Amino acid sequence: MEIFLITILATGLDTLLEYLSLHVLSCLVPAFFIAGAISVLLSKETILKFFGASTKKWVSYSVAALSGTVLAVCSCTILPMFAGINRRGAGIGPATAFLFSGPAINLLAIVLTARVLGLDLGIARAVAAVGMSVVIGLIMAAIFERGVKEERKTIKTAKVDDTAEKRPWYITFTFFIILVAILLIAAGGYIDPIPKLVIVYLLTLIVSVVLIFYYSRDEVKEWGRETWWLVKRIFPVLLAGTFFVGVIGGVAAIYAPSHDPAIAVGEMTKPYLGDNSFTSCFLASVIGAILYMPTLLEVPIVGNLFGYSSGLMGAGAALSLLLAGPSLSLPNMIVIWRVIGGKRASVYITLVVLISTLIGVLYGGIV
Amino acid sequence: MKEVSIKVFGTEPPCAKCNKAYKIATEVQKDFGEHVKVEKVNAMNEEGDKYGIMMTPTIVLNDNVVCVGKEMPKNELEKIVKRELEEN
Repeated sequence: MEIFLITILATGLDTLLEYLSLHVLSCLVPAFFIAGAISVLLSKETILKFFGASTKKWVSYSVAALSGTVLAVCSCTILPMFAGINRRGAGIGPATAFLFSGPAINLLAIVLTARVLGLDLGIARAVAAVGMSVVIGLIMAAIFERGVKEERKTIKTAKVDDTAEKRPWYITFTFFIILVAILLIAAGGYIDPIPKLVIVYLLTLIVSVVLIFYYSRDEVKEWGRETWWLVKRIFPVLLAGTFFVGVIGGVAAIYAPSHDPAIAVGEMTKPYLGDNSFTSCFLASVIGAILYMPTLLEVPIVGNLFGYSSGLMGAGAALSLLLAGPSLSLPNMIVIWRVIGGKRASVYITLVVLISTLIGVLYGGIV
Repeated sequence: MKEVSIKVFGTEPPCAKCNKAYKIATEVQKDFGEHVKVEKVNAMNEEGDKYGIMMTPTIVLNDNVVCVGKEMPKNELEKIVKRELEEN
């Protein structure tokens, strides 16, 4: 019994250490800084005005599909915005597009997926989530808003008059480009460690210069505070969850044929999730849609628990789970249900599960 | 002296930042006493529609939106409350 317990805890620790390794941290640290900067230093009101009732439809859809990266660092911001866009703005189509893509194209999640599960799956996840959100939005609008006359009341959106002095757009642009460059260089494996360190150091110097000349002291302080707040909120949950994923593997190893804790769960789910067939992908999307996964934890769940990293889970099934996962969970379904009603909510949930499945099958066929 | 009403719009169930914003508002209320009323409102109901709430927490002070999508630092909120109280 004691030996079992020690094995189980050791597996938990092993999995945890894998996520504390340099190559994971070197991508997460810059990504947290970018997420903090996005949330504090970008004016969100500029984006919100594209969701008004008078905006051209194609503009609303494109902004809805892409703005998740900028607007939705915290999942609790998504539902009020969804309700707002739906009732007071561009309507159910762009609103559902935003509801789906917001959590799915979260910058931290894409970066960690690309780093841990592979660049191809990371890119597939981002591209599929954006495309899928528009398709879901268009279908929702076609079903529920056909023939409805445009008589939505335009109520002005709550906003504060910006008193801060405006920065020229190219400064903001350069600032974010340098931050992304730091992320790519620090996380990428293409440059040797020493020159890499030098380049990252120089880029950080440029960031400091931009900050000194174009940003106020308060803004920089708030950036630091926000970054730290995000780390505090997300990182401990990721670590605890990863440890737990390892422990589940350790427990499963008692029953699995190979008795290897690192692949035990994957081995047992392989018959159901191991290929790119319709059933595998469908099962993966249903699991993703029901299971509540804290931000970023979907990566160890797919990689370690279901064994994508050790080849025990099909690439298609993995993508299906990653697509349906972050945007839906049982608690979140209940809230959506209350906001838009049972009929619309069930169509939305069905669409997410079905389209995730289809994209998974398609992706599995390509790779 | 007229009253100042502070409405903190948040999500239900509450998110971390909305709780923080509400906590700051109640602290300010304690400092100013009975002239300040603080209320926690769910952003996703009619009241939220009235002000056009898109992001939470949003703070509405005497029908004016003063802060959107972040918790307002205590000293800033105090400054506005003071100004409102003195104006009346």
